[in-house]
Amino acid sequence: MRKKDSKKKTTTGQTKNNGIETGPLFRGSVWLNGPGEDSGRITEEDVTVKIEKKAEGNKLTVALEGRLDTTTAPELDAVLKDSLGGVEDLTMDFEGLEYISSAGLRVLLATQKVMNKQGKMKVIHVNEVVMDVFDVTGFADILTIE
Amino acid sequence: MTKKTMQIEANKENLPQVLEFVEGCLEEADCPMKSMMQISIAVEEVFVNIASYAYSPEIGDAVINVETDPDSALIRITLEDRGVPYDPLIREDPDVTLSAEERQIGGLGVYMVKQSMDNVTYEFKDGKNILTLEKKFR
Repeated sequence: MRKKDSKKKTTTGQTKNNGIETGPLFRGSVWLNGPGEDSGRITEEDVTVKIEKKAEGNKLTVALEGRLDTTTAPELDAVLKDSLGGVEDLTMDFEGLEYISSAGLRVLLATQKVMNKQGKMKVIHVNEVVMDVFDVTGFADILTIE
Repeated sequence: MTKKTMQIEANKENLPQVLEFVEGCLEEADCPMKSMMQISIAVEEVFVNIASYAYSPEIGDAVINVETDPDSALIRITLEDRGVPYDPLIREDPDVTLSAEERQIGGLGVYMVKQSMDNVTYEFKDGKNILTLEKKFR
């Protein structure tokens, strides 16, 4: 049995590079004149995705915060591979998800295939950017989106 | 038109830095968040392709140019590599009407690039693969 409310925060091994270029050539340094709190553009914290799991009997809710991209999708893949045993009702809560690329779609597709065999899956609180991706890729028809 | 350039090793681990660079340029051009995310997704797909295939198993650099014009709201991004000549646009679009069981995920990345940008062109010039992405954000 999986523990309730187990949280997982992941970090990537990004290294800080303090040499900032002032000219037009930006070579792997951190953008220092960064955005304020309201900006959704990438910051160092965004290179991670926050994955929160809540299990209740055979129900599992996985809430994501941040970006599901090439860097972070393997983290979600690992968490799900580890968690889907015995789950018949999976909810993916995308309220905090800003962005999804094909790497994230790959994980969703694999998860949908698993859940087709053992139960059901739905995706909730999808934002406009992510919904556009689901629409153009046909994932809007594959997934159950509420 | 403002142009900024980043040269960076084409390595998946450098993706956050690439997106940070691109989004910094877009923010300066007052590009709205939704367009910024769509452009970032496209840049990610292209950069990851370069990182995965252009030089494999060797390593090499990618050069990313971001041209922005706040007046005309035009964004033009080119991604260049000196790897194996490869036109990602000749690949056939995936069938996006198939069910989960029938789905192949391959090819979806390039398809997303084409869908999220207004114009995507490829050329091989001076030993470089050059993919140009254009989008108007108004």
